[in-house]
Amino acid sequence: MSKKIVIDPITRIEGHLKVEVEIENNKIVDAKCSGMLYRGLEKILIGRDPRDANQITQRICGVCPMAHAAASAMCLDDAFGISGKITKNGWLVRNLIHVSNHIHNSILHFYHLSALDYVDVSKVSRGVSSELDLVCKFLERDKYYPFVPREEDFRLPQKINERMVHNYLKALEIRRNTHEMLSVFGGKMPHQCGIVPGGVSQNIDAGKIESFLGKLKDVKEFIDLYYIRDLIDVATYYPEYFQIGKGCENYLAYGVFPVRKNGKIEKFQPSGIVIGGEKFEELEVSEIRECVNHSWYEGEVKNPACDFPEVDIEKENAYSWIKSPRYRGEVFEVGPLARLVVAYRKGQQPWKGAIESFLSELKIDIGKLFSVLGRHIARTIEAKVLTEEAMKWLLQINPEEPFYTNYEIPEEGEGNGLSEGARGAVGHWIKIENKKIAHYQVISPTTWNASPKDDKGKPGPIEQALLGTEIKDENNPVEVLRIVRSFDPCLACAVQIMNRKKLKSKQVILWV
Amino acid sequence: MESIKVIWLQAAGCTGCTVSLLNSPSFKIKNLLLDEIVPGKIVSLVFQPTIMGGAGEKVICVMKEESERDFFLVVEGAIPTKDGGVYGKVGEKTFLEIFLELSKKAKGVIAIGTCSSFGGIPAAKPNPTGCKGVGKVMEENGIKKLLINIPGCPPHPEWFIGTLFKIIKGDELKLDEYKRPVDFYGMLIHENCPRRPYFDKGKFAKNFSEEGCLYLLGCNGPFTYSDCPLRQWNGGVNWCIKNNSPCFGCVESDYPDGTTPFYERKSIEELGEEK
Repeated sequence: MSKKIVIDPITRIEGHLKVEVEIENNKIVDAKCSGMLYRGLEKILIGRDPRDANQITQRICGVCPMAHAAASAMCLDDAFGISGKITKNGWLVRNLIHVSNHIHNSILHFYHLSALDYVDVSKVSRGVSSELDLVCKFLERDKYYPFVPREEDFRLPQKINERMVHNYLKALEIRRNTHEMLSVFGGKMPHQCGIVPGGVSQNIDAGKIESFLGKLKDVKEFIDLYYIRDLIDVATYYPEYFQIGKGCENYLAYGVFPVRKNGKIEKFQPSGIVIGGEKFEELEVSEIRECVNHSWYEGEVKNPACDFPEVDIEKENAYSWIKSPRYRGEVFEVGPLARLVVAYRKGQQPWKGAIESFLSELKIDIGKLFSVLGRHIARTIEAKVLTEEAMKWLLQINPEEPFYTNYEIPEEGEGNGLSEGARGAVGHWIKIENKKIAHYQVISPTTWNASPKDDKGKPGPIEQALLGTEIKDENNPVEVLRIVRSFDPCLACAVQIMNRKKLKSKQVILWV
Repeated sequence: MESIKVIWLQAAGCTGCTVSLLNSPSFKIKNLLLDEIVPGKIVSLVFQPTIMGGAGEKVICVMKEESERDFFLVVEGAIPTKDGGVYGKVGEKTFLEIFLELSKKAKGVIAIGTCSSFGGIPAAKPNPTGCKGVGKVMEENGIKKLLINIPGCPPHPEWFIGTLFKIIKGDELKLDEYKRPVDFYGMLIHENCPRRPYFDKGKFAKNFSEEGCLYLLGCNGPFTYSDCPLRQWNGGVNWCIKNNSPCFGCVESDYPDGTTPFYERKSIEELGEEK
């Protein structure tokens, strides 16, 4: 007899996600991931001033607006014909704004979105720290909202558990620091205004560099002293999560953080794909297609270059607003783990070295990273390497040189911007007619990861990661939640599509 | 100890309002969650999807039980109303159904963010999902409840916490015609703008690399009511105009359609007039 478990809403993620699993003999035999919100933001962009896309697309997601700020700015640079003219300072400051949010997301995800799956807030004692005393006072309440109700599988020894509860609270401040750091160059956060087509909005002086550096140092100290240790402790006490949540083992990254070196642009994190966890290949963007067989849109397999599915609320067998992007017809995972596996298999430093040193400290091989814990480890490695690199970028800023390149909006034009949000590969595509947006498309990380089944019935990455998992207690399906959360889904990002306007252009790739 | 129950519903939004609240600089989030707000009074955050421990049916049950009496409803995001609200669901129900049920029982409703207050980004033309602000939805359904709008894309954390503080303390809250607390939305950005002398002298920046008033670059400061220039953002580190970016008018009821194109000069005739 099979039994169905429905979890709706999945909490401690961004947005509205429903997960349905079917269980036979305690094992998941079928899994369905459903995006439950549709806003149609790309449709809202049509007919607007192209520059507005840089602000409006950030509102796709308030947790990772940087992904869209960066990708839309690159997309507009391309359409305005100024991609090659962004100055060294322009790239450095853009990267520093962008990287602040990647670091922010690692900390937010580990402590505030995931830790409550592993850490028991109600098991702390007085006299350890002022933070824990505050928690003890809280525990005198009748009801421990918002920390209950919850799934329970807590194994950390008292001292480690207490340290992590303390760090959960400490991380609230450190995460806030990363946004303050970001806003030194970005103006405000969420929804920054510093990254603009042409570069950045303000010139940076020594005072601002110092202000950013001071905040970065606080964040770095927390990562080096606490975050890495907390992660290793979770990995030590929940070791079976190196086997759970493997997924499709295909990884895709667009690459991110372009730096101008000797007149050439190089990405600090490379683009590429890795097949079966092993084989690296360069990325061919034209190999991407989307299936809507199980999504609430008309039709089946869509050639993104020419098809435009309309909403079909009544569609049989559909169960999500998210579509299913596929690369050469295969399922690919995106995100921090994908970025790291791509860099590792490509042999790009300093990533390869950083990954090897973590693997040897944990005494595991690279294959173990294809798991729930692997995704957490990937975020930690990124936070560590990126804070170190951010210091270097900061010191390369030359306040005497330009930060911004002026431009004219062309009558007609098209462009694309490929970048990485904290959660994975993000692409923006634009077409301009009469100086207005004639077409705009976004394909976001969670569209890949939380995609439903495709034309061949192949489940998406999160669905695959769930399949075969043993559920110890059907009334407490903590395994499902830990797997889903390890992907750090962002649902607002995953669904914003729909476009009715047909295009003549062959080159623009449309994800509809 | 008096407990003020809060249910935080997320509808058609981006979670940016939640993240902005987490950025609260002086009133720490740990104190909001764990400690007394004023002596003898605590906030019990019954339901908040981004940070709560549980998931699925368990939390939907809690929402149901705790919404029987004595709670404040906070709504983040607009309410999709087209096609019966089918474009947004949680726990098998549309946001619209859940919002109507909860708002009827709530002691009061706080709309956090411009989407929830006025429709905001998802309600921008052509408004594909029929998104509306909660005030509009309440009015159309004959729900008469205390409503406070805390717009902003996102709102400053202190606008929300400051309002909550006044409610909890029992202070009188003065609202403007858009139901925004005048404590935070009482003055034009233009009145307090540090670049006002540039405007008065006619020194205007024509692109981002120039110093000057940002009016010609599309600044909405002369038409936008908020205390951003005084309060500043992210712990006072910066704010849009200080960052050499025009104000986007994100707290206004006609944002974004009425405040775009963001980087084009707005009509000078509107200057000094009530919007």
